[in-house]
Amino acid sequence: MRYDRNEILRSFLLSSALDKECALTNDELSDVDFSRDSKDILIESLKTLLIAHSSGDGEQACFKKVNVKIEEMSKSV
Amino acid sequence: MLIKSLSLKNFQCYCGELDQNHFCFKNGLNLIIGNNGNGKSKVFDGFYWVLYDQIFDTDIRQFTPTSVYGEKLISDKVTRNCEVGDTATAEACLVVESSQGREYRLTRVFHCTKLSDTEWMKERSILLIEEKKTNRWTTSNETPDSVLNRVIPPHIKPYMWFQGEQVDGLMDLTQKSSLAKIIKLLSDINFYDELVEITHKGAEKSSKSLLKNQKSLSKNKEESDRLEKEFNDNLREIKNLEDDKKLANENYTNAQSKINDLLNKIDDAEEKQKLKIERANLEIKLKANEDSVIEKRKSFTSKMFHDYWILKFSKPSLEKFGRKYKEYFEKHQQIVNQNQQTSFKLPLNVPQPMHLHGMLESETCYVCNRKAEKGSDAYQHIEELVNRSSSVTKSPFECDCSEYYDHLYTKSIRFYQHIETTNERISEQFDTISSLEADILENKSRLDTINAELEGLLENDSSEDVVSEFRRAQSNVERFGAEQKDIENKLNRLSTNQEKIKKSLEKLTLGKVDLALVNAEKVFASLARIAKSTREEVYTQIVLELESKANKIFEEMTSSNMSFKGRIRLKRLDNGAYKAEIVDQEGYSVTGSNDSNIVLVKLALIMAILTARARWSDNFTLISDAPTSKMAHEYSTGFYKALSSNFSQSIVMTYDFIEPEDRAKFIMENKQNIGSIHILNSKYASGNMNDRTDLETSIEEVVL
Amino acid sequence: MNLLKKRINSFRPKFLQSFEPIISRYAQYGGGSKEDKFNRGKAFANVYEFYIYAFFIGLAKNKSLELTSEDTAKDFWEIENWKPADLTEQLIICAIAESDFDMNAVESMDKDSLYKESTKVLSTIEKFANGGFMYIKQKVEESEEAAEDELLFVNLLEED
Repeated sequence: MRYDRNEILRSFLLSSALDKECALTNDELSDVDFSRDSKDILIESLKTLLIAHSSGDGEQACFKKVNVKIEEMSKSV
Repeated sequence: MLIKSLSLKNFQCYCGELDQNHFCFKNGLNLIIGNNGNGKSKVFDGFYWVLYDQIFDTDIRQFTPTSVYGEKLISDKVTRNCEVGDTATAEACLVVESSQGREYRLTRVFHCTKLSDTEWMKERSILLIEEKKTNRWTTSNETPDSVLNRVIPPHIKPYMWFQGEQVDGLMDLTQKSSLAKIIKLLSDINFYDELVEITHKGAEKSSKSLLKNQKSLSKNKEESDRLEKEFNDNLREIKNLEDDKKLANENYTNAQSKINDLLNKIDDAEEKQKLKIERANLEIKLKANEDSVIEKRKSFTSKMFHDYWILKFSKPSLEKFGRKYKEYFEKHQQIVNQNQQTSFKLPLNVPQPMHLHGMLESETCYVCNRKAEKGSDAYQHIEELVNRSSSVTKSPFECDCSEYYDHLYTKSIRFYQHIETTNERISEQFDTISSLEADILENKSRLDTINAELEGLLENDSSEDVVSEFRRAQSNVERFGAEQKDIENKLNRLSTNQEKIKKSLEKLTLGKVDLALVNAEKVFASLARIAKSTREEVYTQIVLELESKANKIFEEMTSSNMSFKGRIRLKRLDNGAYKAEIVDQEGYSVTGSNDSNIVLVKLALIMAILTARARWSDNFTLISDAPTSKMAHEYSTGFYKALSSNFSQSIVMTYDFIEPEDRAKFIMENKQNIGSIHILNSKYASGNMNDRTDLETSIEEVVL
Repeated sequence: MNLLKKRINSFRPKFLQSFEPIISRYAQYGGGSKEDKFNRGKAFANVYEFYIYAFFIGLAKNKSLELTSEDTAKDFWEIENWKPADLTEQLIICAIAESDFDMNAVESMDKDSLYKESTKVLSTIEKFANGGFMYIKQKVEESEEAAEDELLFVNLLEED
C-alpha cells in the first residue's frame, strides 16, 4: 500500500466540505471506517476510491471501481 | 537505519588500514572535530562514496563518479609509493543497524593500477553488502538498492546528508516554490493532489456520460445537441479561465512581493514601520467596511420582501380594499339579518353571549351604558340578542366568504402603520451604506497618502528607477486585483449557465434516465469538491505544524542569545504558495536579519520538516559537514542542542569545540545527548609542510 | 377550507413568454440559498419572488398588461406555495381591490360561477405583474449599467 489509507480517510471525514455534502450525522460519520458499510453512497464511493488509489490502481481502474460501487448501491435503492 | 561505524582504508587523506581509520558512532550527537584541512569533509565524502559511488570534487564543486575522479580518491601517500604495474586500493566500510536490530556492512572497494607516472587504469568500484547473522557476516540476499534506500531514502537524502554550503540551496527563502517543493517531497500531500486530479476527471466524465444518456432519451434531439455543445464549450471556457486565474493570482502575488521588497529598501526604519503599521490597520478596516457594504447590499432585495418595502406604494389599494370590504360587509349583514327575520344590525356574536348575559344580570346596556331594567324594552332587546345567537338558522349563502374576507381585511390594516414607516426604514439602510462608503473613500484616500509618503521615503534613499518600479508595482497590484475579480465573476456566470443547461436537458428527457448515471454524476461532483477542500485543509495543517515545529526548534537554537531573533512565519500568498519569513512581535516582516539568523531559520525549517510528520528523525541519521560555518558561536551551541534533542542520531563534522576548554564545557552541559566525539589531527610525517603527500590524518576518540 | 380561498390559492398566474429572458436573468430557477442567489448574480431566489415584485411595481407605476387568449404565456407554481405568505395575501388583497370582482355576488354563486368570477382576481394579478415585467424590461433595455446594478430593484421602487 502506498499510503496509510486509514489516516487519509480520517482527514476526509474531518473535512468541512464532506460535512456539507454528506447526509450522515456527525455521530454516524465518526463510526465510519473501512470495515463497516455506512449505507451512504457518497461515503462508500469515497472508501472505494481510497482503497483503489492507495493500492496503486491507476485512474481508469479507480473510476471503474467507484462506478461499480455506485451502480450496486443504486440498484439496492 | 542508524550508523554504527565508518572505516576508511587509503581513502583520500586517510592513509592506512580500515582499523586505523575507524569512527564508532552511537545514538545522539556525534561530533567529528577538526581544523580546516584536517580531513573533516573527507569523512562526509566517505559516507557518500559508499552509498553513491561519488566524490565531491572541490575543484569543480560538484559530485563526481568514481570512474571519473579516479586515482585522486586513493591516498596520495599510497599512490606516491606505487611502481608502474602496482595496484592501489581504497576502501570504505559502513556498518548500519535497522530499527529491528538487523546489521548490515556495506564495503566499497576501488582498485587502480599504475600504468605510468601520469596514467592509471581505473577499475569499477565494487560494493559488497553483508548481513550479520548469528554473529557472522554473510553476503546479503537483498538487492543493493533495497538496502541502500533503507540506509537513507533518496528523496530525503538532500535534507539529511548535506554540507553547510548547501543549506542556502536547499531552502531558498526567496523562492516561493522552495517550501512547496519540500512539503510535496516529504509529506503525503501528493496523494491528495492525485485524488483531486482523479475526482475532477471523474466528475467531468460522469457528467458527460449522463448528458449522453439524457440526449439519447431526448424528445428534441436538435435542442439536446445544441445544449450539449454549449455545455462542452463552457467546460473549455471554464478550464481556460482557471488557467487565467492561476496566472492572475501569480501576477498579483509577484506585484505584492515587489512592493514589499522595494519598501524593505527604505532606510528610515522607524518612519517606515509607523507607516506600514498604519497601512496594515487601514487595509483591515477597509476590507471590513467593504465586506459590510456587500452584506448590506445582499440583504436589500431580501428586505424588500421580509421587511415589506415592496408594499411602499400599495396603501391606496389596501384602502380601496378596506372600502370594498365595508360595502361587502353591509350587504352581507343585511342578507344575514333578513334571513334571521330580525333587524339586528349587529353581526352574530357581537356582543358576545357572556357580555349579553352580563348585561341581563346587571340590568345595564354595556354599549350605551344606560339602565335596562327587567321588563323594559331595552332588557327585551338584549334577551332577543341572546336568543338570536342560540338559534340555528340555515345560512343564506352558497359560499359564505365572510371569514375569509375578514381575515384579509384584518391582515391589510395591520400593514398601514408599517407602510407609513417604510420610507424611513429604507432611508436608514441607504444612510448606513452611504456612511460606510464615505469611510471607505476616506480610508482609500489615506492609503494613497501613505503610499505616497512611502514612495517619498524610497525616493530619499534610492534611485529614481526604484521609485518608478514602486509605482509600476502598485499599478500592477490594482490591475491584477481587478483581473482576479473579473475572472471570478465570469466563472460564476459560467457555473450558473452549466446548471441551467443541465436542468434544460433534464426537462427534455422522455422516460427514465439510468439512476446509476445520475448518482455517479452527483457523487463524483461531490467527491471533486471534497477532495479539493480536504487537500487544502491538510496542506494548511501541514504548514501550521511545520511553522510551530520550526519555531520550537528555532527557539531551542537561539535560547542562549539575547539579541533580537524574531519568529518564523510561513505566509500564505495569493497564488497558494507559502513564503518563509522572519517576523517581529507585531507580525511584521523583519529585514536586515544577520546571516546567522537566516541560516538558523533555514536549518530550523529543514529540521522541522524532518521531524514534523513521518519519523525520519527517529529512523535515519542526519549527517552534515560544517553546518555552523556561517553561524556565530553562541548560535552553534544552540544548534547542537536542537539537533541532539530532535534526532535519534546525528553526525556532524565541524571546527567548533576545537579548543579543549570549549569542548569540556560542552560535554559537561550535554553529556547525556552526546554519542561520540572524534578529534582529527593532521601531521606531516617527515615534517615537510609543502609536501601534500606527506600529510597524515589521525583520529582520536574522546572518552566521555 | 372556504371554496373561494381554495380557488384563489390554486391560481397559477402566468407571464408572457417574451419576459422569460428577463426572468431567468434575475431569478434563480429552482430556488436556492441566499448565498447561492447572490453568488450567481440573481436578485430573486425564485420566480414567484420576482412575480410578486413585478406585481407591486406594476401597481405602483400603474403599468398593466392584460393577457389575452392569443398570448403565449407560461405559469410556474400555485399561489398557495408562494412565500412569505402574508406578503402573498397582500397581493391578493390588492388584486381584489383593483379588480371588479364582486365580493358579495360570489357568496350566492354555484361552484362554476364562483370560479368564473374569481378569474377576475387572477386576471388582475396577471395584468399588473406583466405590466411590471414590461416596465422592468424597458428600464433594463434603456441602460445596461442600470441592468447590472445589484440595487436595480430597490432603486426602481425608490424612483418617483
